[in-house]
Amino acid sequence: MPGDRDTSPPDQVLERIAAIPAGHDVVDGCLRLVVALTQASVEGADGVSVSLQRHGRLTTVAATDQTILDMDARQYATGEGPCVDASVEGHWFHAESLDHETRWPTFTPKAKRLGINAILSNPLVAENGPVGALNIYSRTAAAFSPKERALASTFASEASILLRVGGVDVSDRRLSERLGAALRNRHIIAQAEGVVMEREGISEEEAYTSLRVISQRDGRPLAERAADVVDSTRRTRSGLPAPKKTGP
Amino acid sequence: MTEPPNDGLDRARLDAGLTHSELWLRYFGLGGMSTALQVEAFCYGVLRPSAHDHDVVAHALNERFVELGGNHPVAYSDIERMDP
Repeated sequence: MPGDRDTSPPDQVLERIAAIPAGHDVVDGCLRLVVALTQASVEGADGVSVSLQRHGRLTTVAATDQTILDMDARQYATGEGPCVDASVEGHWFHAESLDHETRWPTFTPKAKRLGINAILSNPLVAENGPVGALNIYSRTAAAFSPKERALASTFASEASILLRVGGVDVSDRRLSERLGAALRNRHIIAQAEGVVMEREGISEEEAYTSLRVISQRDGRPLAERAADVVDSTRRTRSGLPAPKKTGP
Repeated sequence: MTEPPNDGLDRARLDAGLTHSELWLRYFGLGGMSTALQVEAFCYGVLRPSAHDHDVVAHALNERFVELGGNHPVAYSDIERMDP
């Protein structure tokens, strides 16, 4: 409500929000706030949304109304539009007037039928590249002046910080690769624990500590040292000489 | 073993440049059994980890510090403090 508004510049408000440790729910809540702040601050913004890559495809995680949700959905469906291009290419796209827009021939007529005449999409960029876009829609052609475009870019930059702080910096594919590597490491460490337990006659926790101390001493990852231990048993079984012993 | 020194874990996480989810993934890869939320609570000192859990978190952080060219600045439960 007017009179209750935080008088801090929006970018300072967002910086404070970005300092809050965040899980996905918190990130989504913050992005809804970004959408509301953007609509309130950018002159000519009739609707705003945030698109994010989730489960391998773009999805709208925050939008001011149903028309904007439909606008985003039509871009995802056609694979065309400033929102899709900004999310993929990592730089901003400005459709100043859809009357003269030629870059998205399938999407543009659909947008015009919903009463949209100008679109500004700024990329949301996390650690490993673009992950989505902050999309601003207007019913008025040429609605976004250079000043409004600069403000929108600031909101997108601050929202990108939120995503990085919230850990939304890993694509699904990369996450599955890293989870796979983590599972392999767990497996090899568990195998090495078993070997050390049997060799030394000690408990699982003591075996883990023993491996961890060696890893620490050698400055090598625990999983690598564990792999050495497991490998040493294979060499023993196959009759190959064991490598020079540096650990358990 | 002495009580785990669970203070400063979040400071170390920030110094290591790891998000909470990245730290948890590393912890999980080292055989940790606690959930991401529990590990986050260990960092903030809201939940007290077992000595073993503390050491797995500490080692996840320390492996990151080694990658960054450092040593093992995060103390383990059975060592008062390692030299950085």
